[in-house]
Amino acid sequence: MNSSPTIVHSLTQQHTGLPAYTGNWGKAQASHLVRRTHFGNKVSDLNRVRAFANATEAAQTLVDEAKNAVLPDAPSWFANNNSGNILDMYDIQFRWMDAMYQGGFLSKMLLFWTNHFAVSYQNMNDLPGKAPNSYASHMFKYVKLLQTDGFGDFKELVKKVSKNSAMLYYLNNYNNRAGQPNEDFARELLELFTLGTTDKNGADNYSETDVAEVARAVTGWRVNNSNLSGFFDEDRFDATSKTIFGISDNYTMDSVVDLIFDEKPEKVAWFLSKKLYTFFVSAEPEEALVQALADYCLSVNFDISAVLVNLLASEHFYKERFFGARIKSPIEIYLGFLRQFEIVPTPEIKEFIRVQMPELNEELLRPETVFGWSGYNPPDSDGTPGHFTWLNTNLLPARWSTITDMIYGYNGAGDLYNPMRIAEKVSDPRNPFTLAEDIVEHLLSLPLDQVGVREVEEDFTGDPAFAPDLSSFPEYKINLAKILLGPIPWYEWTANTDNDGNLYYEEHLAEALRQYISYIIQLPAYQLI
Amino acid sequence: MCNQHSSHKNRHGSSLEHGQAHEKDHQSWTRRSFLSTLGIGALGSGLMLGGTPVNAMARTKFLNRLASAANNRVLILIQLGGGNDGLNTVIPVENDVYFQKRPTIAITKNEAISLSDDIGLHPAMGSLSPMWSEGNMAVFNNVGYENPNRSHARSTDIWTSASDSDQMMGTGWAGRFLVEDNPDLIANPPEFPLGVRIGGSSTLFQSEFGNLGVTFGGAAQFAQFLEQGGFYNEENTPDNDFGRSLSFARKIANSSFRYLEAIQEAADNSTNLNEYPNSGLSRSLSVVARLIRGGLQTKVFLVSKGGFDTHNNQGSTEGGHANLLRDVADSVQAFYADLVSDGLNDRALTMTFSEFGRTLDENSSAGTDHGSSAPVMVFGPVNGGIYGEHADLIDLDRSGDPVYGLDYRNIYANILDNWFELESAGMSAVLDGEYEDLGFLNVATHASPNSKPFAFKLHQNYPNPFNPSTNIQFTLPASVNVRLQVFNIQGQLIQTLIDGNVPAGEQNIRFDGSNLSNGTYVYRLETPYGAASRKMTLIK
Repeated sequence: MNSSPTIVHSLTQQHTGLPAYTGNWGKAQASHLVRRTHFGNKVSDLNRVRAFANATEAAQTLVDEAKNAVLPDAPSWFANNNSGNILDMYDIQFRWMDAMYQGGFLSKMLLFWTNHFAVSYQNMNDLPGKAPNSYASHMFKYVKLLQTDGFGDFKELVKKVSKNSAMLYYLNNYNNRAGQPNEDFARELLELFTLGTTDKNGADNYSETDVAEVARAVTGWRVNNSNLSGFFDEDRFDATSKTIFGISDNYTMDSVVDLIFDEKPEKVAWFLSKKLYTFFVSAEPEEALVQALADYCLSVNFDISAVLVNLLASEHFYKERFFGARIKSPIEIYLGFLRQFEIVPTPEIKEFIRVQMPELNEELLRPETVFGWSGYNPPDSDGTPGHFTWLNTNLLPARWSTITDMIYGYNGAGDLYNPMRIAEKVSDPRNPFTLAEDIVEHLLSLPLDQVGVREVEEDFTGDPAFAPDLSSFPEYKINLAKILLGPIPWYEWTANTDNDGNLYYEEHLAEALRQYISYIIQLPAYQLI
Repeated sequence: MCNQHSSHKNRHGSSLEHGQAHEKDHQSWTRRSFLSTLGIGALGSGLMLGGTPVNAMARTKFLNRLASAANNRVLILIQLGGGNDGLNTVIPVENDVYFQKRPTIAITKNEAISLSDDIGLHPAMGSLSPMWSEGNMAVFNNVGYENPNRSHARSTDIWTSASDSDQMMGTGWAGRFLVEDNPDLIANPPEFPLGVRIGGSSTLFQSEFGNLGVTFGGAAQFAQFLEQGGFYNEENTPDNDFGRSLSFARKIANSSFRYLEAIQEAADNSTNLNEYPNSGLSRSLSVVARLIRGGLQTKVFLVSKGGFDTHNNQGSTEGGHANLLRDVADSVQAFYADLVSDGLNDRALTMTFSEFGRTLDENSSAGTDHGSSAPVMVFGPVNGGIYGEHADLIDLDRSGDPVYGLDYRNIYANILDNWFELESAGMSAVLDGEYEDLGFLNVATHASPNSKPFAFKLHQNYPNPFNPSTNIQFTLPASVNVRLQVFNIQGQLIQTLIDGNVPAGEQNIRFDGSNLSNGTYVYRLETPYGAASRKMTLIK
């Protein structure tokens, strides 16, 4: 069908991509990889990732596992009937939260793709002629597609998403027919999914004529609500010639995607690489690094897994200046908190998070709650906006108060949290000095001497004759210990032993730890990942 | 939600149109927006609420000013961390048992400062003599509680939460008082911190609405705070990727702190009018004096001094314990010398407390171990003197320590009642039980003719969280016009439940949230006596 002139790209030269990280594979590097590929650092994930031989093995394993992951069975509501029930939509969100909590790279990559190929359920259940009685089912299939195909061939993914029923509805392509073109999908195909408006030099990647012509090429697609699929209806298709990027042919949905990848592969590779870079590394992309990743992307023919491994195993990725360089999105705040503290998301907690998230300007699978800008990752070629827009003087205190709700079990945020088990996992809870430091190291991404801990002037409570030996302690560690201990002399921060020889802790130690955690999560540094 | 965006076409994740200017716009717009929170230091659910209607707000602010004008008194608590040896602070100088049990550390009558024929004050506290002789110092003997707990942490929690020995309370007594004192806290949070804490136990200011105390690590951090315009230094971050993000997060955190201006203003308005000794406690008190003088409306301050856990070589007339007490005395003296310069001493009541006293027996390392009751000292406009009997050193508890004579909450109760003039309904919300008037605060002299009348009570809705309906109860002392309204978290009015005359007594109103989406809502009762608000959560 595609009779455009054969373009010979200089793909013969094999790019090795970004140089791999070969330095020490330690706790700091493993933590960074877990934080960026998961939602917060869970001890078990950290230990596992740390046990790999090096960065390449770690990144390759995480990607392979995600690519080959067996998805849980579909919920019964999906198997039974088409659903237009909002509770089933929430169920999709809850199942995703469960998956985030369980761990694995798949859920983080799903966040990336739901932003890249943004679809909102709200647009489908509210508008006439869409899918009020089946939108939850369409959304389920959309999510599943991004899960099963999100680590494969990017071009194939674009094609499949373009034919996905939720996408057809969301961008109104189900209504796009010969003689009455609707440009909505065509524009986003170019602007958001493949090219971006301009290339790295600021030149336009396409013209308005191209948009109009692409819109005619993608006509004819409709949705079958009974089997939740997009299908091609020849009668609605505009079968005349279209001229796109100056080339004329009778393009279709598939061949127009081929055309984009054939005609402008470097631009697609740049666009995707930059998005991946800003999501996984830093909101301030470095052009040379993005270019190297894009070159590699081209050389592996848009194999998403290969690109991810290259990026996540690269020397560049593990530079200390990126530890804590990104501002957490709301879902990273909430699920990250749960995973750091190993608070299993009960239905009550998931509902709490679901209700609170829109107040922080994010809702899973409903991107318009971010009103005109994408907070999930910076989609814009300038990089930075998404990241900073997550915080302002309303949103930051809202983050503080809802996390402390989860610590104290207020306002339907679960139960009063018992922090002693996590204290045992990350430290020795009987030693307040190491405990104070280890908890902070577990919670924060930055080098600890950069955190900015409150300076406590007063001496340690307790008998000065038993003053602790602080000679080897940095200033921040002394302050952290004072904040943790409060009115408790350091030598009385102890565990008791029961008749069976098991350690147990007095309730006031748990409360001291809760107050300490409440302080740490309010440090500005806690907003960074 | 940011309504500034709503006019834009939804571009499903397209670029940020306004760039940096937009971001800046957000910050300044939110800085003075209605949305209020407790900001830094908030534990538990902070106060998240969008604005109440402007006219309602203006009105309650006016009422708040009236209220604070009626009572502008402050309480300063000095926490002596570690368990102060009360027997060597307020000394039974005629008691043979005391000298028998404490062979090397006891202080004789000749050495002590005489408070009465048989009671002396530790000689290191000589700087308090003028306050004592002028009647500005009250000493309460043998203060404690039933079944004393000898764990530092637990007993500190008991003293700061005002609970029984075996009772776990999640809130502090000052936190509960400040909630009662500010019934409209949720819908109309004050522009100043209700509590300021420079060291000491954070439990004191814990409330059902989060921690009401703003915390400073010390006078040095306070100075830093003024210099930086917030708790965090936006400047000293590295110029790299995480450094720029950190600087931004710090900047937002600093401007999110809603009391920044009030504290800065108070600090700018005033200086200390007296020299203070060079000690942490003194510096903390100098900050408190500056904030009071500068007009900060905060009513409760907590400062602390640690090191009282004197198990070892505590000394007698000189030594470790003497140095601790000297610092307390010198600091309190300097604090009042500062306040008296412009008459502020009449507004400031200062009380010391410690989690427990120490053992009657001197231990084998010339120190003392965790004990039971101990004296409490109160300074300021009091009826000076000694209150209660000194500890009985013969009829002791099972550990061989004195049995308390005065429940510590009795002193709190008198302060709430006579100093802060809290009405009886409020009293019962802060402290359990009935307490006698010990007479150290002279009601007749200090009572304000405009003290707040007992007015009304708005109860927590039940059930909460709710689906889809819940009951809101309130109590009125007389038949008056009231307005009961429900707002969403953005401060938009959802429904007016009552607007008109309501009879005296308890009212029960059903609120139906069937048509509302999940989330937090605020209900607010306006009465001629003032307004009150509470949060409720709808979960479908």
